[in-house]
Amino acid sequence: MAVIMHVDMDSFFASIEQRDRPELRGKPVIVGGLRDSKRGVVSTCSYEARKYGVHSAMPIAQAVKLCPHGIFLPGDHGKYAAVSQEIRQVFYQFSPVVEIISIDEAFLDMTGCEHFYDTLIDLGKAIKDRIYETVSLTASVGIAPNKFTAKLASEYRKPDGLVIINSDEVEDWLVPMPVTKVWGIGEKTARALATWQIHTIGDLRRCSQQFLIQQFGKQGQSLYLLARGIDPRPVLPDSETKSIGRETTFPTDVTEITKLRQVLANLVADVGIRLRRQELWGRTITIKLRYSDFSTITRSTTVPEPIDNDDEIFATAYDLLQRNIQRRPIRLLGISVSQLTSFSQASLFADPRREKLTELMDELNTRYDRAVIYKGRQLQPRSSPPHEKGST
Amino acid sequence: MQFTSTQGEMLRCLNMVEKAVATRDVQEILTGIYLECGDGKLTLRATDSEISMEAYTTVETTSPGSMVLKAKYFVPLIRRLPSGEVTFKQLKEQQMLEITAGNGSFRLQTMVGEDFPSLPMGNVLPLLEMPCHVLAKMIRQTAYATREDQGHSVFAGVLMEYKADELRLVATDTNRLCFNRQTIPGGEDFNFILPARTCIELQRILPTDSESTVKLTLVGNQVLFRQNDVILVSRLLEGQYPDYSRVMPASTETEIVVECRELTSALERANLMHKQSSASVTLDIEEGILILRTRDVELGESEESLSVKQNGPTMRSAFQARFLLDMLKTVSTDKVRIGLSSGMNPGTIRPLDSDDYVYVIMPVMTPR
Repeated sequence: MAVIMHVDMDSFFASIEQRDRPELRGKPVIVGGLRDSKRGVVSTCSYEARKYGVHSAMPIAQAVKLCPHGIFLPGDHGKYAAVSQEIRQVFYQFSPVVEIISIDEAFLDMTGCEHFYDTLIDLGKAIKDRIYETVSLTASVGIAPNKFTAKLASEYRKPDGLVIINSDEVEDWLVPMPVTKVWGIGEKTARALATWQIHTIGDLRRCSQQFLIQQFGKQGQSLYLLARGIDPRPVLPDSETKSIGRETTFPTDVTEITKLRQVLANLVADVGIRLRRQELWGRTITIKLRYSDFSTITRSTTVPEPIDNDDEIFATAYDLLQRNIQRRPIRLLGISVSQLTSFSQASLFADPRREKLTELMDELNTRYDRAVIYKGRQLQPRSSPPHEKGST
Repeated sequence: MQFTSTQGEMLRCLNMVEKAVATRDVQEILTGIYLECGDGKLTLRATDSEISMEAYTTVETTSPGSMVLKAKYFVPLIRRLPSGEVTFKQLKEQQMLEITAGNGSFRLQTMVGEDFPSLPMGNVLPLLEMPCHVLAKMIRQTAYATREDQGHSVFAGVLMEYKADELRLVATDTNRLCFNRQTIPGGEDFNFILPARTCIELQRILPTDSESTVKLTLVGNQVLFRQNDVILVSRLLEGQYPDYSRVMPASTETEIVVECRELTSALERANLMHKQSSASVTLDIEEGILILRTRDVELGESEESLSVKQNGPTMRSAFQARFLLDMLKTVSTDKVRIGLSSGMNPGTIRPLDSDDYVYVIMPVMTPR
């Protein structure tokens, strides 16, 4: 029987700030932007702030309303990443099979290692203690037979929790849970299920496999299994980078295509150099647009052969942008490259000068650690055309 | 209009032209098939303005006329009729066609025949007449290397070039290139780029026997192929095809001769070892042994060796497995010659005994 552990740091960013600044302890700390930030969103908040209804992904302005005396911090990602690295080192002391999910979350495959401890509780305590000794932060830990149930367990008793789900207890755990706890069920799927009066995992278990596949296709198959606590996904050690992306929220909404084009060019330059530094090539180019009303779309194009140069990525992304701008004000623009490969197909008709140029630009920008040389499209348009209103 | 034919013959003709029917409803009339009869002859025609196809057959004509029928309903109906005699009769005042077969009778709405575009013909002499099976084989050995793109770049087509009694077909997606040539005497020079889709439709209408011939003519910016009682007219791709001779290496550093079937099945196994797009396979040649290696960090790895006839020094090069497989599947000989060079220089594959079919393939770059 597999022993999978899910470790989730408790309100990670806010806890680091409280650790380093004792005057913040016991107070509602909200990381994501200063109080007057019009556009920021909450990335983490302390448990004290959660009592006021503040949660992550909420606009800062709304958090200010809910929790006027909160302490709002812009956050220091460099510091958080360094702490995350220290925690990762702890994970590797416990298991070589570690899958890093995000800066504050990971799965560990502990199968076989449980024999070094009297009980799974002892195992969980050991890793929590070691994390606390190393970085003075608390984590919530879930131990269960697979990834899905391990994550349920760690979420169950936050903060500083430790929950074990044994394989014979899985059913009792799952049956009363709302379907939204199932991996892959978002708002949309939940709404669809609700129309069939399926609200809990118990309800979901009563659906036949055939019905779920009819309604949800491939996802239906996995819903059927997950509802039974069956999750065959392995813990993938140092899982490869799946995509490289970058996005930006504008200080004020943008409509001018020239401005968007320039911002896109800069985002592409950043993504491009990261691809090349990691020696990766990608086939799928995705843009993300958030309109002023917060509705968000992503649109992608897959090119026949993997690419890594800015010009091709930009051309593909700009084409997507033009086709989806819809003349609506844009709040956020993002681009990512996925379907990554570690090789690239050479071209019979390649222009060696372009590759040379890219190489040279990367070298200069790396040497000076900032963009000292760039393409014209990355520059501020000299005069933006007037804001177009009411034209069709 | 009224005529009598058989279910089998009507279906054969419809199958010929059906692929040219417009699938997108740009102009409603183009979603139909045009029928015209007179003098004991029935003409069927379809076009989506990129490709047009026309087929002829003899019928028993009672009265001449023309009309257009929605392909979506007409073709499936004919397909399901009982075999045997079928009578088609236009009911003018109702704009209907009455189809009688066996004990059944069916009435379908029609569109006006006069509105249907005609084929660009005229009394143009053919530029070249060639055996159907030769052209079909040449297309089969090139068209797969075209680039699948929505745009209409020259790479989305096959270059057809005729000069000094030699027909050459070339296709490339810029990563690999197919070159194919045949001596076919008696034609006049031409040079055009045929869309990949036309190649597929053309192949479909070419019979496989060794006797049949096909005639080719250029009419404005269109090409016309005529094979017995079928005509295919296609738009050509515009633009300058790159100088392919520049990228065909005159020689390679190492050459091996290998069993085509053995290599194909080894590559098919190697090509399973990838999660995304395609596997990159490394070819190591040393002392008459070819070792194929693949590795996917997430999935696993493979290694397999084949004995080969080697000419030249030890060599290593990496290619996309699917690119190698594409070519090997179109070779009709038991053995192939593979030429490899070091660095980022292209490799070549050709049938053992011939230089008429040459495949040029660029290696993949892997991290240093």
